[in-house]
Amino acid sequence: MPDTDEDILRQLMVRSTDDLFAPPAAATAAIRRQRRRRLRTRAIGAAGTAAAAGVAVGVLVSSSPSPRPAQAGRGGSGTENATPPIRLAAQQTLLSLSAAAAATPRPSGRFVVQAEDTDTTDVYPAGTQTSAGTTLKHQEILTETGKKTSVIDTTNGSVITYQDLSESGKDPFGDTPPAVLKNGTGTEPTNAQLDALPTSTEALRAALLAEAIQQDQPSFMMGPKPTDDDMVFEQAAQVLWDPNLSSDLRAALYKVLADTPGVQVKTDATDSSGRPAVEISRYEAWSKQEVEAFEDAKTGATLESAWVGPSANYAEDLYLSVTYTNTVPPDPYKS
Amino acid sequence: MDRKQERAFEEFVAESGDSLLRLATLLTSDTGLGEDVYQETLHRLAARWSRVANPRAFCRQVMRNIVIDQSRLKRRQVPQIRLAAEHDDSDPRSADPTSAVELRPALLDALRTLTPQQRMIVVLRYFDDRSENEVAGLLGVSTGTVKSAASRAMAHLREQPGISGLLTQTETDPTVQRIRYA
Repeated sequence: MPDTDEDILRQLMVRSTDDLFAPPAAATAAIRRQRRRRLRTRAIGAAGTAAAAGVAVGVLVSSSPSPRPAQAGRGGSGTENATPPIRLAAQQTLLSLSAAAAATPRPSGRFVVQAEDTDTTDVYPAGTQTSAGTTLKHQEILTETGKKTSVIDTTNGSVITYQDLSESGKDPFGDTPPAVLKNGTGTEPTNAQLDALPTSTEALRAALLAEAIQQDQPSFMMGPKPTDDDMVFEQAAQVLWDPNLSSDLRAALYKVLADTPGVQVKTDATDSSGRPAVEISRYEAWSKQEVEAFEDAKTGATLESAWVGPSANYAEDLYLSVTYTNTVPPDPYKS
Repeated sequence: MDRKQERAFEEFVAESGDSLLRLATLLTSDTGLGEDVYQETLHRLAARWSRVANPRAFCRQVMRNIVIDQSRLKRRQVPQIRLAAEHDDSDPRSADPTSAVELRPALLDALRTLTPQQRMIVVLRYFDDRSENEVAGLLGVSTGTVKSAASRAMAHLREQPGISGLLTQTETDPTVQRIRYA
């Protein structure tokens, strides 16, 4: 028998929550997000709300996609309920993007120069161990703002990243971010590797699925697992992010999306910087996350991608500009 | 995280996930918010996994930060569905007045009437079994504040209709008595 009210309260708290069990997918979702951030080495999180105030034109339904719960606090999320009658409109938009991509040749130039914006905030609680071996006495909020320009060698996949540190916040872990990051060959896919991907819709879908399975290893996941369509969509969005795709490959990727159930499309959305865009999105029931891509309707190029959820988690990558050159440009932020 | 770190992270979550979710639920007094806080805590932990020496302490601190800074959370639009409203009399657990399905709505309602600091002190002290010094350090307050806030919180909880009948209506904790009569 408990002796005190404190003991009784303790038992009440234990008993009233002992039927709550953590969703098995939670750990996997957290790991996947970290993988994405690591894999996309040249992408940066850009905070802010995508002002995607567009009109939903359709959603592809050929199986039974999970209903997408409303996302609070964010505009332009598209139709909530899939209805077959508007299916053709979404497909038509994706096929139009495919045609636009097919008509836009890949620019020449060995190096892709990508300028991106950074605006991320992390909170580090008191007690956190720093890399310098010290312990934070108080909560620290690290805000990283500024610009970053990555130079990708399309022949060997090496990357040089110039970082604008003038607006960077203090790192509570004692790390001093380098002004220039150099990653060796194979960091990014080369043009040759990208060109080796098939461009027929069926073969490309199979290749995307195989790559996603290799990356995500769903057979080792605990709890809910992604469907093939989940993996194909996310992998396609990931490949579309690469600006140096051949026109045939980019066009084929949109055709794959046009055949993927659950894809939602909005034609008059805008990206975070206000540029007109076609928003392509898909909700993953297993991870409670929506994957979004904002595309340039005229060229089929990706302007921005975002992950919304689960709960309040949000991440997005935004291109400011993409140019091509045959020589490595100097550090644009070096004064 | 490399694969080895990912496995370690998964093992930690497998071992501690349930208790962390329950802690988050009590700290927020809301099963839905608790799940949100739990998920966000895991994301932050994963982002700093290789640098965090004590994952459970890290999670506790992150939860504290989120609860204190409610503005960092999107408030849920849909009111929580009370489990009691879905109660099925054919469920054999219905005969047990202290089963989780019966207790939780009343307890969470009662905890919700406390201030965020009082709630954290009560939950960390009596559910998470943290010492007064630990709670004081976590919240950035003095040990005396922890003691007095816990005392006030208990007195307040004794007046809550949902759980008042379960408490003894007396203060028998010698720690509380020392504070009161010191």
